[in-house]
Amino acid sequence: MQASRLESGGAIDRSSSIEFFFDGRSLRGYPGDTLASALLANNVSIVARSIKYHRPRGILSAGLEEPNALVACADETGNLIPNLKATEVWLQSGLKAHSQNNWPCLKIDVGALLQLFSRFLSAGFYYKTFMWPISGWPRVYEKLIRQVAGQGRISLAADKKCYDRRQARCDTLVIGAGSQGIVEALAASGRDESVLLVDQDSGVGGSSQWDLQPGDAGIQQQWLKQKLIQLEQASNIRCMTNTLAFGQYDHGLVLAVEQHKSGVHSIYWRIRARRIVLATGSIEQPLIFPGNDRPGIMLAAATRQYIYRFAVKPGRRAFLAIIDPEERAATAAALVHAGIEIVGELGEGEVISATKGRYRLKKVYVFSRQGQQKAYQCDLLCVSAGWARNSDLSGQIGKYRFEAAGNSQDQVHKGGAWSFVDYQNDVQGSDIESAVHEGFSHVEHTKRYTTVGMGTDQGKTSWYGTTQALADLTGRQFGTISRTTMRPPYSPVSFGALAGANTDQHMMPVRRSPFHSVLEKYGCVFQTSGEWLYSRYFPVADESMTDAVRREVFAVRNAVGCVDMSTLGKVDVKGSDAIRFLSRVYCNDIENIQAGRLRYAVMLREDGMVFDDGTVSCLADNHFLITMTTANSVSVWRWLNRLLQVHWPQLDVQLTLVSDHYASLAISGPNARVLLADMSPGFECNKGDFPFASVRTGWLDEKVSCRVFSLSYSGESCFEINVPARHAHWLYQRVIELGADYGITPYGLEALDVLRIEKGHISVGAEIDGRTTPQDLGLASMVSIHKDFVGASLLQRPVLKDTNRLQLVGLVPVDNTHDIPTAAQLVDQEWHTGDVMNSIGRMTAVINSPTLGCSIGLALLERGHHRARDTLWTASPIENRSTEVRVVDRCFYDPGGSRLRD
Amino acid sequence: MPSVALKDRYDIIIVGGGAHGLACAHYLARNHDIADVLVLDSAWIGGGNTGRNTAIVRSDYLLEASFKLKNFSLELWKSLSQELNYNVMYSPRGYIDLAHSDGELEHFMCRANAMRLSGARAEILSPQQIESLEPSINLHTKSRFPVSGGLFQPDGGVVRHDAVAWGFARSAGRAGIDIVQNCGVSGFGVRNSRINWVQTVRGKIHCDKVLITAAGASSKLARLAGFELPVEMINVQAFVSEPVKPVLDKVINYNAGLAYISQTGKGELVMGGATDGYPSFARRGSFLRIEDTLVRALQIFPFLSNLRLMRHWSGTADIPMDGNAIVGKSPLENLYLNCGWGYAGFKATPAVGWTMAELLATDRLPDLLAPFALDRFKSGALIDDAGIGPYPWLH
Repeated sequence: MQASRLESGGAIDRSSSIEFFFDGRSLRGYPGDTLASALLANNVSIVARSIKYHRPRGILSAGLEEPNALVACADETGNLIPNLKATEVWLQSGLKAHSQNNWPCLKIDVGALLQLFSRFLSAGFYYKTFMWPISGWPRVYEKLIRQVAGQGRISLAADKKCYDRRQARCDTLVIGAGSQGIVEALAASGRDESVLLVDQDSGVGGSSQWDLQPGDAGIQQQWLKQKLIQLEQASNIRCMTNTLAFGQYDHGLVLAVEQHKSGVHSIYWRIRARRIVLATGSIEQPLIFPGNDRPGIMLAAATRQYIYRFAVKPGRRAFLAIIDPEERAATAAALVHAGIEIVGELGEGEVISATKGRYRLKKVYVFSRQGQQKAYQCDLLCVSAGWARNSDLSGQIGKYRFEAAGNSQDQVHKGGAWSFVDYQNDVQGSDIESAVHEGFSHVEHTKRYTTVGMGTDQGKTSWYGTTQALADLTGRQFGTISRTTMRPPYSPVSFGALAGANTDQHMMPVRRSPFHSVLEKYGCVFQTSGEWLYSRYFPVADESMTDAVRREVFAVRNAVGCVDMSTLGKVDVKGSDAIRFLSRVYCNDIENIQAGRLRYAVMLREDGMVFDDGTVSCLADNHFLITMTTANSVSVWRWLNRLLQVHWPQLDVQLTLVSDHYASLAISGPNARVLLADMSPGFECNKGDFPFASVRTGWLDEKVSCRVFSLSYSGESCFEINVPARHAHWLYQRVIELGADYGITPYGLEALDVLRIEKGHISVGAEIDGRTTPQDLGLASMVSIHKDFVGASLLQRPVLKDTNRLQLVGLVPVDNTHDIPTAAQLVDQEWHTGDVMNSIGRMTAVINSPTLGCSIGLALLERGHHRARDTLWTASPIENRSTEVRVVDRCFYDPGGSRLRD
Repeated sequence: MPSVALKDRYDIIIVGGGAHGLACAHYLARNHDIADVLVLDSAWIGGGNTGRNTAIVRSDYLLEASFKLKNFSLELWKSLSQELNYNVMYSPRGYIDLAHSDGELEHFMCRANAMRLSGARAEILSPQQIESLEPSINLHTKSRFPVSGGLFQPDGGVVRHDAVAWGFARSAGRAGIDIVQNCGVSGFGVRNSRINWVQTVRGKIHCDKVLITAAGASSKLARLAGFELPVEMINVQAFVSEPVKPVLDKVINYNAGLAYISQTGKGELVMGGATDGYPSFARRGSFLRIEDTLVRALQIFPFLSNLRLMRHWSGTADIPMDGNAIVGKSPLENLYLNCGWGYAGFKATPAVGWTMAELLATDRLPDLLAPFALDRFKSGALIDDAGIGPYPWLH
């Protein structure tokens, strides 16, 4: 039984009625209804409570401008989605909708008592109150205010709906499929352009789908029918309904969200168009008068839409307050069509002075020009102050004109209590007045002070009244005050849709080294770092990380280990100016490098700070391979290209990023060289023929091409074997197989880090922190004085040469049974709990060295290079301890480097 | 803000009616009894980066200079409402910076130790502790970058950003300082390295001293005064969801990429991310940044997926070559600078106002400001908190 449903007509499917629920009450509607039309058909007048004063609210409009009828609905996965506009929710069988922001229930809402205090709750009241006592705001007031603020409640349950992101392009994009949009789309189609026609509504035709003008006699419907056939026939037009174009950007980019009723919940579209036609229509504006928010007060065109499109009778007795005479006539005709009695009209010069009715409009009081008050019994009040053009999409790219059509200023009034200019945020005319009184008369200030236009309806029915009130109050002319800055989205769009499928693990791609699957087989524990999954350590049985790392370190120091180095960045550098280019990029001398040799190299940023370190290998004349750290591989690659393309385009250099081409496995330890020989790389592997800091190419087992680099990060003899990435699996198995006799042990980045700290090598992110110079890091002797290079001139700045800077040192505990705390600060004296002290440096890396059997650390210390053997203290308030330490050389292990040369 | 009859001369002209400029005006009157001051804004007060940020205040910096100034600010925020008799709603909800690896957590510990050693409160939290402090956070294993812990600053939080500008303006106005809106500066009368007058759309105004505190307009104004600033202008955006009942208490910073999230008193979830990554004065961001920030926020707050993007904003961040602010003296004798705050300036508002007022009033450089001098780019005394270097779009 739908008490207020008309017997015939409407674009609803009457063949089957569907059940839905509002606040648990079972109701029925038809496919084709919105939740709003179905509620009206069931005579439900109060749908929501307003945010601040908890005033009963009904349905004002029939579209996305709806400020009042916010509800929560269960989605197809059972999650309750708050703040949906009932006018935008299509009715589906079993739909469960709930009113919001009321307690204990919609009709009897305790919060409505706040209306009694409205005098104290006007705009900006909280700026002047709640200040005492000092801790009162965060402890008490804010907590209370936060509880009463907000609209609906969001559940913490994960969203299981499916979303997608897609791209489209077209010659002409027509936004708005009303009659104007259709004409534009067909015209573009006639010019052989590809056309996209988008509209947020479920049908094409805009208001001509349902609206009737007096005397029209169906001509418009006939026209639309014909145009729909033409649209259908034009193969170069694609109509996208249920698609809200919400943002326009420069260069023809429009963003849209398409809603689906099933399957993929919604799709976020990025549309590139050569030409954009905005046929976005207008939004009808309400009148401002005391009590203009009661359920039963409805925009005139919305009333017609409910009657004609949804076959709903929104009232029994109507009063018309419609400024434009044509619109008044059209609305009167619709009311007559629906059998609604018209009890009166607002005449020229008359104003509405009050309305009555607790849950639904019962009476309208009108003041005549002569000052007499007259009351009309009615349950429907159709209002219209005129129309405001939808200029948001052009306003967003800075092309904005505020246009209002069909207004008559003196008919729009502000006075009296409960005269709302913004329904959703409960902003009254008096709030605008007090804002102006306080000096907030710039529309941007008015907005922020009163919150006008800041609700989910984004003030679509508020700006007109607000700017008019502002004009009145400041003696300016209506139309000279613009709206606040327009930005996407035009209407709220789903975060789920914007994120698309980029959730959970799919937020961004995972990079895996070519060894990944084989490392998995060897029980590797991986670690997420940046985009990569690194091999972290290889526990045997139920070994802890500490034990595994210790075992791996001993294996490298005493036998041989293998570690995946594939994540390092690699660039192939060729050309007659290749060495000149590299010489400018790196701060150390490399010009005299011979083919077959490699060199450790450091590059600086323009400001003289160390940027990255790696190796430069000379493969042949004018042919080099350089490596970058994993962390910096993208930024160094970008940087090299910038240097070459922007700064030195005249150099003959070709750069090729080959990071992904190679699987790179380093074998290191005293047995590394014999293992390499066993792999028969096709070149002599003895120390004489293949010394430290060399590169050789060959064929492993005469079938897999390889490039082998002799270098060392661990301090042990080490060979980095590069093979084409597709041979990763083979290489790894081969190394494990042949290495079995030599004690081959896979190790990961944890052991790698321990080994490098024992050896005193620097690392990006720890010692290379973007604030250290080569001198700070003890690399002063590397910096060439014979050439110019990036960073050379700014490195000469006095503060960068100052000896008081933080400088890299090694630290050991004075009592070596003590551990150095991780990430501690350095201080001159012992630190005790609660002490506030001056820091003189900080730890950059701390380990319990398996090789040395004690705690060691690297640190950046003021004047560190001049404090050898000094003692000082670490302070870790977080661990609540302080340890006495001694400054030592940062190379703790084999300082002479004999293990590399012997 | 009553409309003001402009005088033809002031002791001090402050160019820029953002929170920094207005705070400086307030402290000139309050701390130094100087009220012959004019604050000019080319549009409306608080309409630049003051009105376009995520209102977060904190002082969790590793480098001493950054920490000290922002921590002084945090001290001032605590009693600012009472001082101004205007509720700026300082809400010390606590700020949690998430670490996504043990290595990153070590860096955070280093920062926490530095803060504690300097007398501030800071803690290192385990994932379990984070979950119990902020039950709505989701640190489960499905996320792309697991969370290994976090740095917690209990005194961090949010402040109602508009109210800061309004409160300082009201106080300064009541002290007799003139605040003039819609009055842009089009030139400076410079002679012998001194500014004698400021050319405005309302005419020439003479003065003893000038402070440029105009964020995104700093480089243009400096050029009008005859010098260049080592600053680039980069767009930064932020956005809010529709308002919902309280669901998020703390301020959370997701660090694999960047997304900082809090909930406003009104119930909106407000989110911000990194800069747009390219220089621009357009104040219209690239939507890609919003998508990027959002997907990162969804990693720890998957429930956001059921909410909607309601509003967004973007502004011009002035970012210097080491990513840190330039505050203090300029190449001109009586011109002072406060710029280069990028998208980290809001939290420093009261401290900048306080110290800048001291400098303007006494001509003595307060210790807190000394490290932020313009000549540090010449000397090399950089304050690069992020260690990123002379690439402003990456800061």
